[in-house]
Amino acid sequence: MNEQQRLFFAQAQSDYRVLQLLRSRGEPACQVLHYLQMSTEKLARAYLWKQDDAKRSHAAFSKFLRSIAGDDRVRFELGYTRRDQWDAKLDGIASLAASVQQLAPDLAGDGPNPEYPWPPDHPGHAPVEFEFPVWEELQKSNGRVLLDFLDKLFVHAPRCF
Amino acid sequence: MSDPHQLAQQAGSLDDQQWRVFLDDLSKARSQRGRSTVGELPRNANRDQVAAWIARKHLAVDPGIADVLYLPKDAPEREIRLVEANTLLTALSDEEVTPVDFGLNIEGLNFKLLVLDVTPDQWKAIVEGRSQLPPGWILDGNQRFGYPSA
Repeated sequence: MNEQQRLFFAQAQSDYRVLQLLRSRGEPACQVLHYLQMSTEKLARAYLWKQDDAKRSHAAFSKFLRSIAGDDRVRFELGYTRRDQWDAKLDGIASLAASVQQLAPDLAGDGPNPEYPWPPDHPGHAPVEFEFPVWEELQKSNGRVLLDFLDKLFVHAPRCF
Repeated sequence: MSDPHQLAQQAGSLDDQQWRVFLDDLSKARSQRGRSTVGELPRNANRDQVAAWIARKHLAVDPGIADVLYLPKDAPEREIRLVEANTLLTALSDEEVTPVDFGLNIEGLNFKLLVLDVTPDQWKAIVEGRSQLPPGWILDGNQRFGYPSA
């Protein structure tokens, strides 16, 4: 990792630890989702700084998935010796990953985000009172697959980013 | 099933909560449709085959990507040039639009992958010839990958 990667990864790790703490304590979904969105964005930026390409927009996590789809170093480090299994894994989490990414207020627009009441110009909902569809998805098998994949990424990133 | 116009009209009458659920489900359906068209990367694939596989892969794993152009003409033999319309990209000035080396690293292949991520407006300008591509990149002989034809 170069210095920019190390900095983003350190912050992503810290965010991810807070996410795990909040989950274990049963804190509101919006708080867990907030840290999930932030940790995945920073993890993605840690990878993208390899190519000095982490400065544009909050849509970093999907770009990260696009990039590692063609990076066998990451694939092998995470233990996927067969390409078809790697492809299936990335395909399987892509939609949920995009939903997590979309939680960033800049991308959510007038829609739900885990930080601020919305819509910004005339708030009608508070995150802490809202039932996020993405939260329900995370409780299902596909959500567990995504979280397990993130666990692996945080363990192996220092050796393959 | 309703035709696409009827579906759009029905969707337009949903309340906010239903609308968000609808968009989430639509995104999943879109990814599912993309997955079915990616296929496997052929052994000893040539540049065109690798480019096509990557283009479809990017469409499948990133719901922000709406269209991909592959620009093979005049590119170095081992270089793959893609322009990708990204609906989630923040608009920047033309000066800041530069291709990025995606660090393609696939066992047995030796290609450099350069991706120019652009907003839909920038994409339109490029396709209509109103916007400059990076030096040496030309539209002639391009291949387009996108929905629903990909």
